Amino acid sequence: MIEIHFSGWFQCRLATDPDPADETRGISGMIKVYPGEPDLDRIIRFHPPVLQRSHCPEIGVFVQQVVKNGEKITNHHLIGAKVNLAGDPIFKGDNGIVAEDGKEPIVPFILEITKNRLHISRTCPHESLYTDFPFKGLQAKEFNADPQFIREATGVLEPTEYFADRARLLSEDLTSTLNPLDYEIIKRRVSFLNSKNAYAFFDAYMSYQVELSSVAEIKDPTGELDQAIDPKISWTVYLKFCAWDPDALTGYVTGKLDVL
Amino acid sequence: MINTREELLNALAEAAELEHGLLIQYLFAAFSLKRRPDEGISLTQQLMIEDWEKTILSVAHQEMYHLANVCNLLSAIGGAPRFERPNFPQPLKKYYPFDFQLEKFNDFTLYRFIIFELPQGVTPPPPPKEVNLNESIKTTAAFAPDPLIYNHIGELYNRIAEGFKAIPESLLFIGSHNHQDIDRWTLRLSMHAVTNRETALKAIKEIVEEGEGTTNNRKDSHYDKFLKIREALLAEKAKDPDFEPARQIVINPQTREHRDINGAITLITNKISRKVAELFNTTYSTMLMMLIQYYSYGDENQHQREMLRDSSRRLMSALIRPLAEILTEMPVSESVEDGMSGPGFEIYGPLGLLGKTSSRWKILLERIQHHIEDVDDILQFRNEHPVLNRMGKLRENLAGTMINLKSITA
Repeated sequence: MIEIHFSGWFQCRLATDPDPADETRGISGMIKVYPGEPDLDRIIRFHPPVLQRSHCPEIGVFVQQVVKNGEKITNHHLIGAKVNLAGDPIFKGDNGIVAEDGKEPIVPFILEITKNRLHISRTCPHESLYTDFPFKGLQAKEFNADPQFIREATGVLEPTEYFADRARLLSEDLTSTLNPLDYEIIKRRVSFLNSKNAYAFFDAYMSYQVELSSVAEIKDPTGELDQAIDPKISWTVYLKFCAWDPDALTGYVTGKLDVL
Repeated sequence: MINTREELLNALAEAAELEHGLLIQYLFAAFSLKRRPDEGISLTQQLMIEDWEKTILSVAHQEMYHLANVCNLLSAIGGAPRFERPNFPQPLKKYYPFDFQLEKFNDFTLYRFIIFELPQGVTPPPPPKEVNLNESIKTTAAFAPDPLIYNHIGELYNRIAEGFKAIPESLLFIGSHNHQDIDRWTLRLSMHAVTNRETALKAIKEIVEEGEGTTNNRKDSHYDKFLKIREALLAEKAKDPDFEPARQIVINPQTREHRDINGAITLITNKISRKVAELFNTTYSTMLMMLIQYYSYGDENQHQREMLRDSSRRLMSALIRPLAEILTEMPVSESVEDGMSGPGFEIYGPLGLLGKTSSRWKILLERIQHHIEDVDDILQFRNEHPVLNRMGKLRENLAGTMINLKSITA
């Protein structure tokens, strides 16, 4: 069995309650976009972000480690491969109608891994559990807090300082910002980053376990995988979304794909 | 003076109607605000307008909480929840000591909101134009309950508080403790039980202070928030006389002339807009019926009550607000020059439900099925009005709500 471990910062620009799920600007909820920024769209983006606000983490989810039959393969070709959720997936809670906050299913769920000419793509079976309301097979299995795990994974040991540092950098930017609108936006970001709302959900995670049993699409003309894989045997992917950052509109994801 | 149960029940029923009527007017003004720079506003004005919308929606949200609190006060003394109210418009002194209109965001509307929330003894700010201020109604001695006299919301609640103090506590609190809404509606909103004089007065004090603040501190009260928005609006108008923050929404948009209205309405004559408006009004009534079922404590089990609470809350965000927003971009007549429609919050008939639980569920599911069919009908017109593309999402939300409700009624 191969375990493919991956992690990185992702972006998701989504309206939050009590805004409607399809709200494009963010009026009543915690998340808002500023004038000139693109509309909210709920899409979970592992690469690349639709918008990068200043002094925010770089987006990108990559394979970090490969374990084959229990042994770490430090020089495996897959290390550094891009991991992606394809098909413009969203956290589909629909204001609690599909699922309450923290339990939202990821719809659709198509996992992709790419590096050079390697392309792996696989989705869940075409069964009602995954395709129909309330998408039970794609809902989060757990919504909880785990500060120690999240701080180790992200390297952000003290979230309050992490956000305060960004606020300081932005405050410094203010001195050279001449455009009144840009000035106002930075001022608001600083104020938000210095509030409790900035780190309120940093230590929370949502965990998912999804069976991928469609026929896998595997294109590996240069042999990056180092072995043949039966595309019909099911795989399981485990994901943890955490470290929510309402200023950057990002979070951190760690995951593991078990390939038999 | 309120010193009998009947007078107190009447006053609380009026308070419920008032809170309901106020929050609708606040929502109407908030939904009328422009959203995009292509509507003739600068990016700076967009930011300012978004702030205003957020503030007004937050005030409306607190009014919903006040309404729920009033339901608890009613229940504590043996009254029924009150979600009915007369249709709009209602002129000054006809029903209430206020002019109740559905009007877009502007200086005059803000002035009306400030007057609604004006603390007792505080001089109102200068009006935008000649307006009729409230006059006191004369009291009479009679066997019937005393007429309810007040000019501002805070004043009404002070009268109600006097009633809770005047009537002996041991006689007054006859409602079941189990019939109090103590649920956590959202992360930021949980309700407190009213079981005796102390908790009743605490609930009233909270409502009054959120509305008008205290004598020493008005900051963040509804009154203060509306004053600040008005100041900002007038300052921006002084800088840019052409600044128009709201869409061209007509006053009191209605699908028909209701018997209980008093004043001028704008009839929605555009056929497609009228369909959307009727869908808005009927889904709004469905949401009210869910609340009535939730607050009337029939035979529903805890799980069913939670579903009623959650479904009504979800529909406010996932159906009522989007439909209201859609309506502000739908023409009121065949000519766009006549202005845009808006949510009329019309109530077409009685909302009361029979106590029998099985009938209540049947009516609710029947209504949601009709709403789904109405959405399907409206979706045919999405090419004519691209804003109707949003209806696809609303259909999903209704279908999901139907599945959720069926799962607990089977």
